[in-house]
Amino acid sequence: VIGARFVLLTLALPLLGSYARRFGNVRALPLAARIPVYFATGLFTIVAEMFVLSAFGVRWSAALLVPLPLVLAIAAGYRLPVASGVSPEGKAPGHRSPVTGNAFLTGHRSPVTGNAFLIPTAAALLILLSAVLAGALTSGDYVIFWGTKGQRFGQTHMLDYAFTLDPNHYMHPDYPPLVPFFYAWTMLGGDGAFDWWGGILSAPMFLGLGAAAMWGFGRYAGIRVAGPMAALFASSYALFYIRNAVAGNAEPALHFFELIALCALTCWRDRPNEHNAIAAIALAAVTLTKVEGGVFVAIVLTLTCLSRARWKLGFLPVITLSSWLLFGYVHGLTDTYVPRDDLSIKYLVPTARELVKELALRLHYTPWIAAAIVLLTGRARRGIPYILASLGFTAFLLSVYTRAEPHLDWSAGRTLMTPLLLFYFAAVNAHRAAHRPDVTSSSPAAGPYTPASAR
Amino acid sequence: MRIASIAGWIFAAAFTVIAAREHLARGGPMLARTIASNSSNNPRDAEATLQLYAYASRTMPKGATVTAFKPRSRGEDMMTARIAHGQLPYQRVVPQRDLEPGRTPPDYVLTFGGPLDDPRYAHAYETRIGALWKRMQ
Repeated sequence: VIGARFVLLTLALPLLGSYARRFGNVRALPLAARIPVYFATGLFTIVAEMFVLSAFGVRWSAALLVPLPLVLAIAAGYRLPVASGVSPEGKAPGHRSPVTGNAFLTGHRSPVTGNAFLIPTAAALLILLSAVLAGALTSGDYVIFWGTKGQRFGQTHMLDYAFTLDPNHYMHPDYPPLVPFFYAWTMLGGDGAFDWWGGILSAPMFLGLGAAAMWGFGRYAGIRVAGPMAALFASSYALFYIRNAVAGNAEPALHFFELIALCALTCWRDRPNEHNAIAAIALAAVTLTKVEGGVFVAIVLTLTCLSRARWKLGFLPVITLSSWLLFGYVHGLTDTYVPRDDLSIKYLVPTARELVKELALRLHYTPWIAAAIVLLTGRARRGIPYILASLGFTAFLLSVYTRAEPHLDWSAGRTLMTPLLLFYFAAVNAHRAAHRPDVTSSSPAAGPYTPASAR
Repeated sequence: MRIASIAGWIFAAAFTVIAAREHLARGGPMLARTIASNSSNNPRDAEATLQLYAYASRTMPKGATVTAFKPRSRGEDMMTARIAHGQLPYQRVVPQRDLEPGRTPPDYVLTFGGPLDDPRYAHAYETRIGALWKRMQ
């Protein structure tokens, strides 16, 4: 049901994004985390190129899109690493994690469940895949505009805003373009027809890559609950995707990039900022995936910059979001970014009450309870920034829904997956081992030990 | 650590079981004929609609002009046009108003849920869900 072109061009993305191995300690990550990082980097790079070319009115082609990431990837493969004394293969024989004291290449198996987390993870992904193949999860929005825009952009080789703005078939021209660009990328060299099956099958792909990244990053950082949390993420989000029928929509890509950013910011070993380049790329991709992604990025950047004073982290995401907004402003695509109705306090209480009900996620709040148990069995105070971010995003949703007719039942099931993801990472961070100063660490950039970084 | 791992595993297993149950409730494993064969509130019509689009896309010449609409539900013109743009990649989808007098009529018309009452067009293909009409020269 899926075309070879879609598969091959999708598989090309991690190859084109493999220049990410030059960033920080990426080379030391397990393969399970490196592949998603390379995929995220490759996809963002191609999408950024497509956007820049479109902004200048240039039609893209393989000859314009491929050389830059390809040259970077080849160059990165030939240059010796500089960070953390990691060998080109990502191995550091004999090097012991400054965090856990364990040889990190041996990995960390939970003393209780071992690799048992793979069972629900694989089962959940297979169930999601099966439901997608049954044609049971295809979103109406995918057929109406996500896929259609992708096909159109793929045919015209540029962001065809004249088409998306046309009042005869208004296609949310203000929605960020990453997912349609991904679809357009998979049409390169084809006959102008989009692979609609490929689009919906990207939902289990994004979820699988996300779960692998969560486990791989956690394993790298010595987080012993990484496996169970990856299983929790995969199973709960597979269920949400089935219930909300999001196949082909932007949500799976949004959650994937959000997860990569949170992994990069949370799962460090030598120093808190060692994966900042990956976090910056993922956050920039988030801003180009969905409108609410901009709010997620604003909250995460604010909390990160306040706690770590790492302002450079925000450079790429802010430039990306600003460029998209400027492009939208120039071409009249900013509709969604401007509130349609005035906020009215009189609707606040009933909407908040309804939102609290929706937070149960039709599972009696059990996803939150599960993460809370994991959180409370670790150093719970470390989860506070993530809980604040989760609350901040929920408050943003409340402000959006505070209307006479909030229609939470339409979209809350989808939008509340982002604050839940932030809460999951509160639990993950609670189990990160304390950062200790390590005189054997070969990282020249390892910052000084501070009580704040340990707590 | 032990409690966290066990809790994570149990909840993950529980969500997986619920996901399996909901998948089975929607028909369970199968290879669908179209991407929407088991989606939407009316999957049977959704499947038939996409199949008619697929037939039309295969049989109409590349570059032919075409419009699509529901004769008994003209309020859905915009929605129908959005779907047509996606499902007819080789043809040029034009606005429904091109059927009005004084405008260049499209080469083909796709109707859903009702016949086309226009003497300029001849019936070319029909399914349960709709029909394809070709403009007579």
